[in-house]
Amino acid sequence: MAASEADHALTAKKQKLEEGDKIDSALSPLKSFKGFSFEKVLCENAKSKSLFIMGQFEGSDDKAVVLLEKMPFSSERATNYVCQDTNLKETLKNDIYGTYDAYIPVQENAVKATVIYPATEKHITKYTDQERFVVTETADLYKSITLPYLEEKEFSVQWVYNILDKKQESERIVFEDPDPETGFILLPDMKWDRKNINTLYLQAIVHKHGIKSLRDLNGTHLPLLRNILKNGSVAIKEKFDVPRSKLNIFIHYQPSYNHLHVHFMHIKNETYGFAHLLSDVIENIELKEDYYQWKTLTYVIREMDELYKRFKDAGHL
Amino acid sequence: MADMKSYYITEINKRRKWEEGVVNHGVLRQLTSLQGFSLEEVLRKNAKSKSWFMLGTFKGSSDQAVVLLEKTAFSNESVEYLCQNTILELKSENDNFYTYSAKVPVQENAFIVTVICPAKKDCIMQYTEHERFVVTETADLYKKITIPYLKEKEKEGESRIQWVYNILDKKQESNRIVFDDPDPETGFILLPDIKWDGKNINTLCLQAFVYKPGVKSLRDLNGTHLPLLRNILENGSVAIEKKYGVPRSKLNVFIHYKPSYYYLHVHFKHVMFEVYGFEATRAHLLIDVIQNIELKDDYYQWKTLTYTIREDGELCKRFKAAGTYPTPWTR
Repeated sequence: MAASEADHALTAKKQKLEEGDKIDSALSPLKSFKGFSFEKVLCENAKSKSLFIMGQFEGSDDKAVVLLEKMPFSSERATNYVCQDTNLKETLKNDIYGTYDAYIPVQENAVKATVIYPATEKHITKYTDQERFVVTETADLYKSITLPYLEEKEFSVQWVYNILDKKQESERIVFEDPDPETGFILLPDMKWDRKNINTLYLQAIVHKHGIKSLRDLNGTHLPLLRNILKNGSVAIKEKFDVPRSKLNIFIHYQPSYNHLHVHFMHIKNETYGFAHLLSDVIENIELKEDYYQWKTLTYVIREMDELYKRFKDAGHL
Repeated sequence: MADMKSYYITEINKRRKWEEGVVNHGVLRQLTSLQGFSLEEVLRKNAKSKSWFMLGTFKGSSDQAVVLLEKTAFSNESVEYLCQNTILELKSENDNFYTYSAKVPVQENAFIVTVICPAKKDCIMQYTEHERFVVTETADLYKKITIPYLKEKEKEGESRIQWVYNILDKKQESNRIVFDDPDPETGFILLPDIKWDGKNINTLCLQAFVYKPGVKSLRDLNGTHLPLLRNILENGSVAIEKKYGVPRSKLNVFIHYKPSYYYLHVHFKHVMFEVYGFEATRAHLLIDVIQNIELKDDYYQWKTLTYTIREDGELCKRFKAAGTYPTPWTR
């Protein structure tokens, strides 16, 4: 949090304490959520079993953000409470499978709760999850909605050109093939710490300008794509000793920026976004030159994305 | 014609096997607690998803059992109740962050137990921590390696699809059916995945099973299956919107390759579920499958399919033994 925000929060707290506001003096040894009125759910994650909610404490104008998360089973106690004291309520039985609801003693089943108070706008935005929508982008919809949007926005990829021209990040380059048509630069993604091999993550950025995304790829790009697949993999094997059999090599659609780049990720990483394997892209274009101009492409967009509004306004969502 | 008939007879006999008492109802007959469970080994712990996979035996049975534990997600509907009935114990504070250990009402903190018994070797392996390996299965390698391997597995009786037959025959889970089109060629049954609690819409997860026998996986799909696939996509989505109010724009509809079992089934998952993204090497969107087959009748017999498998498994050994596989990039 920025220094000024922290100062503001502390000052506000001090003032309130001085005013004898019962909320803050009660917050520290807060024993329950009594007096907390829940306003809305900010985010729920079924995978990690977490729930973020926002609300207010009685008598206070400030918002509070509450982060709840179930705890992993505890190694030391699992064999006790799980095996001995767990009662099962059957929900389903089929052949060799049975599923049950189980309830265990409350004292063994604590949940992690974090209260952020007072919560600033920044906190609220940070913990709010946006609604997601599946977009089925036909060839026509690409031409009528997506492409005009891209052309209108003229998203700058100057930072990419800086990398390609070695004006920036040149010391991070792992491999380069300078050919203007089929060449590329391979460098670690910012998200990778470059130490933990299990989270290995690199990007190959093509030298050729003007290929905005998967949609622009056709038969003329086959030598480029084959080059990236082959020599990108070879370089990673040489530099990091990670073989092809441990790599996911793919292109995102929609991409996070509009200059063709290919992701090389260790399979132990969790991938994100809608990924198109480079080997599939090559094979599809070999089958049909204009496969990616013809194909309907499906991907997920978020409510706050401008593109979502365009699809919605055109009646396609 | 004679071949098809004998094939159908074999399939029907397989489905009837359970009536001969093959299915072991022993341990699962009336399981009310885990008290009789003797833990042998913890196969895998996942701190992110709050799950545990255990291996052991139940008292009175020599069969091995795999027991999966997973904490449930919070329920959107009962947030108010949760807030009013939670006790907090302060653990630490830092600036305006206060961390507590919260004791929530018991019914809000259930966990789900799945018992698989008897658990055969393949099943146990499926739930054990392991290294994975990316396989590029060309059309050729599919014929040379995958098909023989699957045939062997079938012969060994490692058929894990009795439960699918039970569903299609309405012998099990019939009260859970969301949609049923009984057409033998283009029909399917749609019902919730056993992993879904049926309540939290954000984790909505259903499966469609085709009635037509003999369609084992994506590899078997061709032009003759287009009416079937279009039917599933259209009427499966309509049924889900009707029953749960979830529109198409919130659904991911896909087929896994390789599948976890060899009877064609289509997954319908809420888009919010896979917050971390889509398994590119495994999930094939049904809309893509249809469009690809429309382009090329035998697309999935021709296409190289890439996926990950266990590195310590027999199938991987065979792929490795086949040498560096001929792939698009070596051309």
